[in-house]
Amino acid sequence: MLESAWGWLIVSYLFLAGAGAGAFIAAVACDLLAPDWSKALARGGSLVAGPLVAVGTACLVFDLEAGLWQPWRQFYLISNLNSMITWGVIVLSLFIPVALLYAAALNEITFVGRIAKKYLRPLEYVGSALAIGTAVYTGILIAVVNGVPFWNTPLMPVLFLASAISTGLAAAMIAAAVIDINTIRTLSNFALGHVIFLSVEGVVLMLLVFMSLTGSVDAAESATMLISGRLSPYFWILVVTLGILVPFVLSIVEYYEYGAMPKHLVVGADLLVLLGGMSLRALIIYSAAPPQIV
Amino acid sequence: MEEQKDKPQEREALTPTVEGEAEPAPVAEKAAEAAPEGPEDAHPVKENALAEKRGRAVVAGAVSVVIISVIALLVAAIFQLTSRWLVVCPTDLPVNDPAPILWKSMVSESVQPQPLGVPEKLTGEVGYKQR
Repeated sequence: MLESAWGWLIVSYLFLAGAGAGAFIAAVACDLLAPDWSKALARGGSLVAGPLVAVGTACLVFDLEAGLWQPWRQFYLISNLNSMITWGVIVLSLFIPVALLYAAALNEITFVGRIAKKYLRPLEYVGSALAIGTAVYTGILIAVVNGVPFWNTPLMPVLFLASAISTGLAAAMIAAAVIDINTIRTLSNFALGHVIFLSVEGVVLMLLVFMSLTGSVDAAESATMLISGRLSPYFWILVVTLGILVPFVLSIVEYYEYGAMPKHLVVGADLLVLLGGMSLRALIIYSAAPPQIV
Repeated sequence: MEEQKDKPQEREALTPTVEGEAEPAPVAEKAAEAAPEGPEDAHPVKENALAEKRGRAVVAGAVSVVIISVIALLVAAIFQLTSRWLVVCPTDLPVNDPAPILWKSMVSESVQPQPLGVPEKLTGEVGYKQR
């Protein structure tokens, strides 16, 4: 059985918050760089960003049982500015309303959206900074845990940022396909984004594993658990093959075939990226080996 | 080279129009035909069509969030269900454990000459395991 001090609620938070932040970045990138032909993706990304991070943050709050039963104690979360967690709480608390406001502005939802549309550019710039902060914070949250040498590395936030952008792009593409399946042909333009960010994710993951293997005994134990230990079937099948290699190849084909690829394969590639992203976070949490006391 | 040059143009040509921008909605067209008196009558129909589109977009966003959350649940279910089948390779099999043999020789009344190195029986068992 899988054992860890941190459970599925934390894994879900890491995944949903990362995907939400990535979807926001994808939406802003589309709106700024290609506003003419990527409106559906920008709209899709903006609509899922805020709710995904909100659901993820709810998972985090449910995991903090004291905070769940005595919510007023959560005020203390922002009382220590020397703590990374305090800054994470501030970033999350600011990002969710900004992302919801951006979705309202871009889609002109209610009078709030019509007012916010006047401040679309400032919302995009502020929201992007907060989205990067949210994505990086998912990695920092576990990188600051000194008790687990495998997590305690500066590569962790980089890996989580790359994975967040990759899963966020997939989430935005799925939302765009749900809004209007006919826009799926334009999504081929964004397959290149998948190719780039899946490559970065793969390289950083490889670096993390190799650095852990040559690092401390405990970090090496965690890395061994992933590549040849009891978690290796999940690592090689769910993360490496289904989560990185298959969508990588499909994205290359999608980019060069441009619009000729069957719709179910385009959406399937995005679903696999999300499956791999969630599995990656689960494996990182469940492969944690505490330092041995000699 | 020719093909490469043509590709961006082809992409632009293939790019479908974004909803509600270039092509007027069929509902709005019909309304304009049916009520040619003035723009005042057509305006509410267009508003409704836009509101409907926005409503659809919001519902689509909610559906997408549900889909992504279901993926998270699915992965958790895969891990929880299949982790029961994982068999940890045992590292403490009796064949590797020289303690009983050493203990027997230590408590034995008769002192027997001990060959240097690993006992022959244990060597055989280890050799059998390695095969």
